[in-house]
Amino acid sequence: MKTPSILDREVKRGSAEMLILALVEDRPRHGYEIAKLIEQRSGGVLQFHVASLYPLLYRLEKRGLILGHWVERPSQRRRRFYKLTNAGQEILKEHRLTWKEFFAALDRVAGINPA
Amino acid sequence: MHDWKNEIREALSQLALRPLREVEIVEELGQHLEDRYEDLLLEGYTEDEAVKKTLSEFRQSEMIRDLRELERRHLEPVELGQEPRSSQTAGLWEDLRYAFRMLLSQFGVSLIVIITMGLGIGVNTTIFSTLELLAFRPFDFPNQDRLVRIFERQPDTSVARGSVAPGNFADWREQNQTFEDLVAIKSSNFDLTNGSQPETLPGNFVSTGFFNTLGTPPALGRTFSAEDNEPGRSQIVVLSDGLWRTRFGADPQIIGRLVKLNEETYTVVGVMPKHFGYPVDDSQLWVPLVPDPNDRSRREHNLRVLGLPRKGISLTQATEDLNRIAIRLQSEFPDTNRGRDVRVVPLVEDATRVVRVAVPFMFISVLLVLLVACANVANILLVRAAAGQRDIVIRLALGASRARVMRQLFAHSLLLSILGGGLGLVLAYFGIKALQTMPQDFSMFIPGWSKMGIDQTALGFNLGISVLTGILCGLLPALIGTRVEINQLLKDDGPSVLGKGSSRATRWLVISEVAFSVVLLAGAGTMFRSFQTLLHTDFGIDATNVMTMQLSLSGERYQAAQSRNNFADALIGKVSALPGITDVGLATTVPLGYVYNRRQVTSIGSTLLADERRLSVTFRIVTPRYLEAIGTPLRKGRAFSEQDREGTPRVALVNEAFSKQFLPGKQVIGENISLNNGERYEIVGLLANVINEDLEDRADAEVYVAYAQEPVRNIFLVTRSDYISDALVQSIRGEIGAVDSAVPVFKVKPLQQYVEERLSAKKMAAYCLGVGALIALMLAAVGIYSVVAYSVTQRTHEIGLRIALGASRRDILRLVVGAGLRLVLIGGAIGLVGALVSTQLLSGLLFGVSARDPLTLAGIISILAAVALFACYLPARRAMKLDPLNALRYQ
Repeated sequence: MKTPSILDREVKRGSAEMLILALVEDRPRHGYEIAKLIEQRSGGVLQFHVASLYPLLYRLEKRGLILGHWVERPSQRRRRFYKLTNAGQEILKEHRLTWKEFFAALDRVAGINPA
Repeated sequence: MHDWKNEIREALSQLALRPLREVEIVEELGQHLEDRYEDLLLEGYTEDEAVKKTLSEFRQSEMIRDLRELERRHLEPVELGQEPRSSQTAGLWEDLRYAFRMLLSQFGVSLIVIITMGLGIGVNTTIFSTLELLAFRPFDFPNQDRLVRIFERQPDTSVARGSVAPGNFADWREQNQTFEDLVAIKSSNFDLTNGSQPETLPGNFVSTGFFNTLGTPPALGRTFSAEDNEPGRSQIVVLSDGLWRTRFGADPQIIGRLVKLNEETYTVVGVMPKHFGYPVDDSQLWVPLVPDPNDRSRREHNLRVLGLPRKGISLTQATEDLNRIAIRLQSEFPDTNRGRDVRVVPLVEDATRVVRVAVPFMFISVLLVLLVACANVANILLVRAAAGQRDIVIRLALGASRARVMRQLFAHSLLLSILGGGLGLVLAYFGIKALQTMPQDFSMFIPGWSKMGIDQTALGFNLGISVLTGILCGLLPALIGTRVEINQLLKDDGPSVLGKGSSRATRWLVISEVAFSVVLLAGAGTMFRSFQTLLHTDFGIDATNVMTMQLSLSGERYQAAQSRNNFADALIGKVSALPGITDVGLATTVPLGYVYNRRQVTSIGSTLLADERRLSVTFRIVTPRYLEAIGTPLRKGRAFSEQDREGTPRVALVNEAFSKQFLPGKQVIGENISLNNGERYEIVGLLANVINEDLEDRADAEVYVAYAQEPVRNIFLVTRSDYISDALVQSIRGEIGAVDSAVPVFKVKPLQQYVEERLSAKKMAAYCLGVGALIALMLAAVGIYSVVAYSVTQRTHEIGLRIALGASRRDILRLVVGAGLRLVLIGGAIGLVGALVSTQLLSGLLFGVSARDPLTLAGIISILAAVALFACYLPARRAMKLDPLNALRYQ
């Protein structure tokens, strides 16, 4: 499958935030899980690697949208899990609305329906 | 397997992150790469391919760019690589800010260090300043280091500090070849009449060379000169600063003013500066002692003699010179001078001889308190350093220069030390203030007490030692940290670097703290027991509700003996009639009253004693009911009665010490004795021994004679009553005034107060030692606690494992407390040995207790055990409550 690198970067820049927030909405997840889920659910179109994912996670954490904490489970290495904060919830809602309006506009103009 | 973390670490190294932050990022990203690698293997990649692909996805430059932007604010504490020289000074300010932040972030520990240092410095400076002043610097005379006191000595009778006879003094003064001058002092009470109210003041007759010999110039006017020895010129007086201020309102025109002393007119010629006081601190005035050129009397020994040896003359030379004269006088005047030679002692040494007994132990105590404080500071800092060392090593590993890390640690230690030192200074200031509030009547007998202040040397010494300890211990982790293998430490669960060395050091510090505390506790405990024993011994008097006041029957009016007897009878009659008064007596001296009278016994029965065998005894003239008033029990025979008057045979009472010394195994009552006033007395009663000068010395031989047979001018009025109140004292004074309003009344004091004053020096010693010991004990407890608590933290994992494997809480308690108590036991044993040796130094101060008092030692061992158990129990309780799951995960 072709992976247009420009799209990749653009999408990430604009939407990565929302993707991450959405993924930790139901339950806390660690970094690798987030990266994997994005790749899986996008059918490989969207990819996050170490270099791009973590700076973003740290930035979100710094802005108070997610909260990371170390969790240890028996017979596993300890991992850092991130969960959505209340502030993150609000931002996610805003993001969803913006994107919805954006796609509605695209659809009206060019007949693209994301659903 | 590929070392992912190393890749990440290298990439991050250019960011200079906070060490802990860096460790977190390395761990998180490392796991991500590891997960990715394993997934790739599962997808069918070979190991090499998997590594290659994982690394290719780890796009360092992109990540570093993003992280740099994000993590920029965490950069400040760590500097990378070698710094340019120009930034060194700019860094100092940074270092101080860093130190301050560190101090705040470890507030509890910092506070303990500061308080420990403050207590150590403050208490030590106070005690040391006191001792130094009392033992070595009692005077402020320019010539004090050269001045000597000169005594007549009678080696045969063990009189070593005898006063000097005027005849001998005159010969020494004229014939010596080694002294610039010899001066004599004769203390006396002076009645100052200034307006209507007479006042009796302690003053002195002094040789005209007195002030020049001491070297102190007057504050106003002049002192005496040789011309003042001329007849007619000697009616002059020099006043003390205190007298000038209180009685003359600090009148600047005082010079030339006429005053009445003992009903004679004197001219004020000078005023001495503040704090000048000799022979006692509260000396109020000095008048010339004009020698009568024809007076060569050698029987009355009543002069205190000071000498100023010529420059370059040694003590031995001066002594030999005077003894040459003394030996000639022995053969020239065998009657009076047989067996008498001369003893020369440096003035300061003589004045401080009582205090010096306590000095060795006091200095040891002070040193031990300081050592305990330093050990504690070292202990806390080392324990904390062991905990914080990872941080330091990581920073070093990340390239911070060793110098920079050292500087930051130095700044931190310095800040702690400065704060501790400041607290110490404040404590020392208030400590000295507290000591200065000791009763005046007590302190006036300690030369130099009024000059008490913080001793600069002591303060400097204490500050120096404490600051040095603080800084050394603060720097230690950096010194050790730079020697270790950095890579090893960077492993997440690397072992503690300071670990072994520092915990051994802290254990030894605790052991020595405990040992020092035991020595101090033993000293304080022994002093305290001695003090208790002293309080509960029989002084031969009963001081409860006894008032004393001094009266002086001066002037023409009391020239005749009959007039003095009339006054005594009238006074006793009037005061006895006051409500509440049970007994009234008069006496020339009272026990502990700072006034002493001695006479020599010249014959016992029919045995005439040769001059050199004549021993002096304490001599007291009393009225019949004095014994009841003061509370001295009569053992045998009778007391004086109204029938013992002038014209009837002279009678005397003696005490048990007298009977033991002069009449061993003989019938005391009915025996006759003669004294050196030429009178012969029949002993009619035997009294209990009483204390006179020293509380410890009750073996003073005493003779009491009847006032009616020898009425004298200077007397104490002693009253026993049901209670003591101001109103009662006022009515007694009223009755004295009613008999004769011109008789001065002074030193109005309860007898109990005289006792308290004598106790206060011992109280002070016990108090100083006690405070020192308590502080040492407290510090040792903190030391034990911090070491045990730290070891619990270190062993959390192990303890969790033990609990998980079925160890009971009691096992854990035993484990933790046992480890702490082992240190206490070792320290306690070493301390006991030290205590047994060092309390010997106290034996000169002890009364009725052995320096190796088993009860005291048992007591301090129990106190120490209780405190140590408590200090160990607190961390043990925390260990017992550990959740094994959490503990096992703890690193």
